[in-house]
This record gives sequence, C-alpha cells and structure tokens, in this order.
Amino acid sequence: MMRKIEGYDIQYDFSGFKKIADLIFFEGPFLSHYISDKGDDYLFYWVDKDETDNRWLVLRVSLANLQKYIAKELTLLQLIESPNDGYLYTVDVDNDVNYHNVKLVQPSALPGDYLPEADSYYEFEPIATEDAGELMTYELTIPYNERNRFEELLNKIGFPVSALKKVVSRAAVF
Amino acid sequence: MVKPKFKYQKQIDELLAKGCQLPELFAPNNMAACRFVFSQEGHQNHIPQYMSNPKRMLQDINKGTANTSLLALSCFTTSEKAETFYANLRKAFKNVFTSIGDSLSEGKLTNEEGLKTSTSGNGHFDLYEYESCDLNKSFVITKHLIEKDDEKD
Repeated sequence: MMRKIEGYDIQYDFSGFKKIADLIFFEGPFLSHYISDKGDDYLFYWVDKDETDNRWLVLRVSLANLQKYIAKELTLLQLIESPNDGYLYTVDVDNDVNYHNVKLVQPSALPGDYLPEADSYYEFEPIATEDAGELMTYELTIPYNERNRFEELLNKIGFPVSALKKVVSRAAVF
Repeated sequence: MVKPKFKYQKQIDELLAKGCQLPELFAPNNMAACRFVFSQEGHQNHIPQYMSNPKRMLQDINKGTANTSLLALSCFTTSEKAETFYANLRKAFKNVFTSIGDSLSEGKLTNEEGLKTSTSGNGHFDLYEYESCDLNKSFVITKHLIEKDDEKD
C-alpha cells in the first residue's frame, strides 16, 4: 500500500501521450520524456511501488529546461519543484497499464522520498524510442529578414544553431 | 558438442519470432560480476524482468517495444561501478531500493552459466543464463546499499 498524497482527485486522459525517450532506464523506465497530443513536453518520473501499482509523477516541462537537465545545468529536483504549470500529477499505473488514482498536486505537498536529491544531476544515457525522430521533427519557415533574430533566440536557449543550419538555409531561399 | 539452451529459450524464441534480435554475446570466462538484489528473506532474486512480470512482455510485444534484454540479468563488472550507478539512481529516486533491490551480491560467471553482452562504459552488461545457471547458489550478498533508517515501514 502506497502512502496517501495530498491533492485534488481528477480525471485525466494520458492516452494521447507518446514516449520520446527513456532518460533513465534500468530493467525498466524510471524517467521518461513524453509528448502530449498538443505537442507539450512531459516527464514521467517514477516515485514508488507496491504489490500492484507503480506510482509516477507527471509534469509539464519546457524543452529548454529538459535540455539543460540533460546537459547537467539543472538538477532533476529543480525540474520537479518548478513544473511549467505550477502543479504536477500523481498517477498509479497497475500491471495491466491501467492509469488510476490521478491527483493534481502541488510540488510542496510531495513527501521527501518522492523528491530527488539536491545534487540530482543527469548521469545517465537517454534511450530514444524508434519513432522519436518523427515525433520531434519540426518544419520551420523562417523569413529571410528574421534569420539573425531566430539564430540569436536559439543561442539564447542554448540550442546548437548548427543542427538547424540546413533547414534555416533552405528556408531562407524560399 | 550440443549447444546449451538458454534458461528462457522459449521466451527468447518468441521474441525472435516477433523480429527482436539477440545482441552480440560473449563467454564470461570466469569473470567477477555483481548484481543488485533484495536482502529480505524469501525474496526471489536473479529473475529477469519479463519472467517476474510476464504481462510486461506481452504488453511490450503489443507495443512493438519488446527487448530480449529483459530476459537477461543486469550485472556490473565491479562493485565500485555498481555502487556508483546505484548512488546516482538513489539521488534521483529515493525509493529505488523497492524496485531493484537494496543490496549488492557478487560472484563469478563461468562459461557454463551463460553468455554476456559487451560491457558499457558504466560497467553494465546483461547475462543471458543457460538452463543450469542459478546465481542464488553462486552469488552472495556482500554489501547493504541503503541505510536502515531509509527503509520503508
């Protein structure tokens, strides 16, 4: 029996979520990156289990912060304590992959053993799903006169501009 | 000489028939190895994920994400590397001991016990056990990896 969490019982449909990658995996996923049907980035973070269920925290994150976590510029604790929406979900998943007991929870209401350590920097290797490339491919059309501003923006969020160079160049021709 | 069968040959064959592939495998040659286990008396240790939870294998087959690795046993080459990996996991997941174990067990892997995958940078490899393999007999718990105070009620 897992502990009771202070939060609001809600109905939430996770069926539209698609897995992009397991960020931490050992004999099973512990931290996974999902994308919602609206294109938002979410983390599924394992926290607990009992005989029948595994409990996960689900939180919306920005791609920039996720990349900072992978680059060891942010800790997992910082991500969990500052979800994009200000709150996160807890959900219990049983052996038949039924999602139940979904709650809306404030990070401050989480018990200590559901939070990572202060120095929880990323020390693992991500495992991308086979269709991650397709799910994470963006088509961009950048007007020629906005090209410099766009590159400045990418630099600001720490995204390697060289990775998009081809696309940007082609877009500039149109 | 008859090629030994894997302990979970039937399940491996089932995954191979679904398009999964076995990784390149090597003889362990009596190498030292260690694994995370549960110290609690009566707990069944050294069981691959798909065998302790067969539903998971079916679910993964249906999702197209099945992997023969989950019919093998996760091992590390040295206790130092295993402990480093465990410590990093615990920084991220304080309750991880409820999922993968609370102790380190160590032993030697002979060529009669199975075949291993190549070792990754963090010291991890998979052991695909042969039929006669029983690490409960050859591996012993050498270290408790969590403080008694951290254990759940």
